[in-house]
Amino acid sequence: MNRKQKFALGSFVIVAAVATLIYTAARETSAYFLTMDEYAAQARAHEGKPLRLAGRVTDGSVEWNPRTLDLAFQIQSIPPRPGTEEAEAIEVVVAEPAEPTATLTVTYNGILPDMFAEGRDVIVEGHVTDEVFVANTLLTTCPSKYEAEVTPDGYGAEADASGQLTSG
Amino acid sequence: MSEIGRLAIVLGFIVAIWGSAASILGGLRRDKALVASGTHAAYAFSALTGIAVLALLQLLLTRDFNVEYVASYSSSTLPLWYTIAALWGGMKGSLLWWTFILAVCNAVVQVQNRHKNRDQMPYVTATMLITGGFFLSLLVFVTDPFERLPFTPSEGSDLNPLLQNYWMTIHPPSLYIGFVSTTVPFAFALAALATGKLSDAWIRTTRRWALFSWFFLSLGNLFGAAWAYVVLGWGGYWAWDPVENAAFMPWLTSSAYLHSVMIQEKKDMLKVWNMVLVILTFALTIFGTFLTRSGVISSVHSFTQSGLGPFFLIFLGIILAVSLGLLVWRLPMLKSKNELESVFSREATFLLNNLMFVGIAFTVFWGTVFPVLSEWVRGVKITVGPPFFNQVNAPLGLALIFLMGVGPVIAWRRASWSSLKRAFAIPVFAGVATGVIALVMGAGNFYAIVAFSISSFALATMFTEFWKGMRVRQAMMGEAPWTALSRLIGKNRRRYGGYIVHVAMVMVFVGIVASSVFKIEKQTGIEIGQSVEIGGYDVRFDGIEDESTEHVEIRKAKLAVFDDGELLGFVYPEKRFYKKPEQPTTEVAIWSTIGSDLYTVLGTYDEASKIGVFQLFLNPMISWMWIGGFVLFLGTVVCMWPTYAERTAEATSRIPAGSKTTS
Repeated sequence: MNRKQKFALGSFVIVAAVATLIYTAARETSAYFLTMDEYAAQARAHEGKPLRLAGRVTDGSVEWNPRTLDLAFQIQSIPPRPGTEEAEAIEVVVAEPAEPTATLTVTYNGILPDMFAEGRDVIVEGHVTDEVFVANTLLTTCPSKYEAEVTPDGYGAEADASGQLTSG
Repeated sequence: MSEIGRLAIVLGFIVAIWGSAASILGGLRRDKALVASGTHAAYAFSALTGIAVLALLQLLLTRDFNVEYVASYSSSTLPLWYTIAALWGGMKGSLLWWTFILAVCNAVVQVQNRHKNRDQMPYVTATMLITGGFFLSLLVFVTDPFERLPFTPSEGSDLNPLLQNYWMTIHPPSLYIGFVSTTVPFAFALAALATGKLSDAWIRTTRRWALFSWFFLSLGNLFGAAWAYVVLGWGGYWAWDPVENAAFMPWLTSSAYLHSVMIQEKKDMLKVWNMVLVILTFALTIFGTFLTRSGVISSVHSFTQSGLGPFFLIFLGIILAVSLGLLVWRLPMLKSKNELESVFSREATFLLNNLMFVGIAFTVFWGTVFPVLSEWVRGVKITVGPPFFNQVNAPLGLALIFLMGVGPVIAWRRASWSSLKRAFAIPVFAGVATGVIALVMGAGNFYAIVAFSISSFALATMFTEFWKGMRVRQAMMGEAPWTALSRLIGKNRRRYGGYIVHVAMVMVFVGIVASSVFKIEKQTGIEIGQSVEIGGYDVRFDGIEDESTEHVEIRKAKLAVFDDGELLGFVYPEKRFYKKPEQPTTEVAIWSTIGSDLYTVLGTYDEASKIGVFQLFLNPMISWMWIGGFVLFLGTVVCMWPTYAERTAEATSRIPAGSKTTS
């Protein structure tokens, strides 16, 4: 074996090692990233598996115990952003916007993230056991996505939380 | 004022088109008048973008809420400093700011090269003007920062409270400077390819620029980590979020380039590879901007969704097609005259170092785009989280630190056994000793022990290098130790400045390892007067204070920090409720020492039971990262400071013949 071949072999071994590292790590740590609709379609298949789920916190569903830091809430699917093709398509097909059907209870323990509130979009990471999503991470819509509507009265209204997770 | 700004960006766009066309044509036809016109266009472009930035600044400072951007990102109560920061607080402003920095870089390059690189300059000018023109075109045609509203709001919606932080005023500018200045080496690389002048001239010309952009990328990343750490309140500083990755990837490839370029200078090897790294670094900065602006990959923070994604993707495609096309065309001219001789040589360690950097960059890239790829290929979105990045990058990072300890002392071409033994006796001893000490002291984590041991090995190599050099000077020149050391560094700035940067990187690395492996986290309710123990500290909850101002309500907890019964001081974590927009924010409080940070977050406070819920973290050795940042600054300054020869060359070129400089 000449020098060139040795170096080629050495580089190949290193590249292969890195590739193996990437492959095994990806297999061990990957999780499905689903919207509520996608989840609801195949709820049973995802039972017990690592999951990231994007949904909207249902109004009036938040139960928060500040003593134990136990949080429970419902999430539902995020309606398409008004004005998008998807939203228009739905409006054409169904005269009245359909009530979101799929909901799921999420439990979490910890300090509430600053942006967490009813009606906001969240991403939860964890897994489903007995039809309850046990979240170990709770991510809320992000700060600088925050683009308040400018209205004549000045103060921006609500954060534009809608549609930010549509890619989920 | 908005009309002036608008006019400036429209004119700037036209000037960029003219300037790049004139430059390319002038370069091809060797028409000096056209080339000169291109240069003038470059200056005009800088002036015009400067005017646009000033116009936007003026609008912000005069609080002209009729302008949509001003209304969206500032308010009448926003402090001056953050009003200035609002220039880059929103997407439109940040694009303008980006273009402006690029224009300034371009002007500096024009001045620096007014008497040299004349054949390449037209293409350099063209590349920079096309890039700048692309950014301006977005502002002119797609998203106008000077857009006026049909009505004038009485008040603006204010800069996001999370962005109202001192780190936020310096983090984006340094990151942008780092991003944008990668254009300079890229432009010179393209010019070298276009003109076929592929000697080391372009590398020498852009050496400082490459270091300059690397330095600002480093700072940008560190500042970003610091911002996340003090503002986001989750106890950490890095989450492998796409936004962070976007800034990290160009840093990795640019680090690789800074190393491999030395091989080209010394051994005339790796020419194609260096071109690829320069192109890749620039492409990654555009890709990073695409990531943060397109919303293709959902991130938990700081994503402004906009319709700009496709434009960036097209621009990226053009960049890659043109530069790789030119590279393939010139491949025959880029043949190396030398080849590697032995695995035990400095060249080989540099090669390995590059494989590691690029390996990490690829890992980060893969992890970032994985959700999109999996959706294309399999129709389901699959994400990988921080464990993926940590698992893959930890061994690669360790290998890099190890190579850092090997590279400086191993011989070029081929190292002999005896020289290896001589060079590595002390570092290996230091590494092993550190490992043993860590084990004895109860660091039960395998990774941490290996990491500390390797770090100490690398540090020992650096110090022996300084020591040996100093001793030699002392013996040869009879200099006092400090004189010898400072002259040693002064005469070999790049080498010893580089070592100082290495020391900084080891410090950052040790900080990362210690804080992630030995982190302690506690979530607990504490009644007023009671205390809680965390990692050797006792934390007593002394009470709550409420403050209220016009636009924010502050709830402040007082925590007393004790070590072994001795009161060290107080920290005040806060919860703030902003009234406009209605948003609570967490203000963490940190008791920081060289050994560890006690990081406190106020969750909630219950009046009835007088119980406050806190999240407490003990983050060991985090401050090493920030101190490492200062050392990095020092090392870079040493590297970039003009050498004696350069200073005199510059001086003599200015001073009329006959006069003499003394020194």
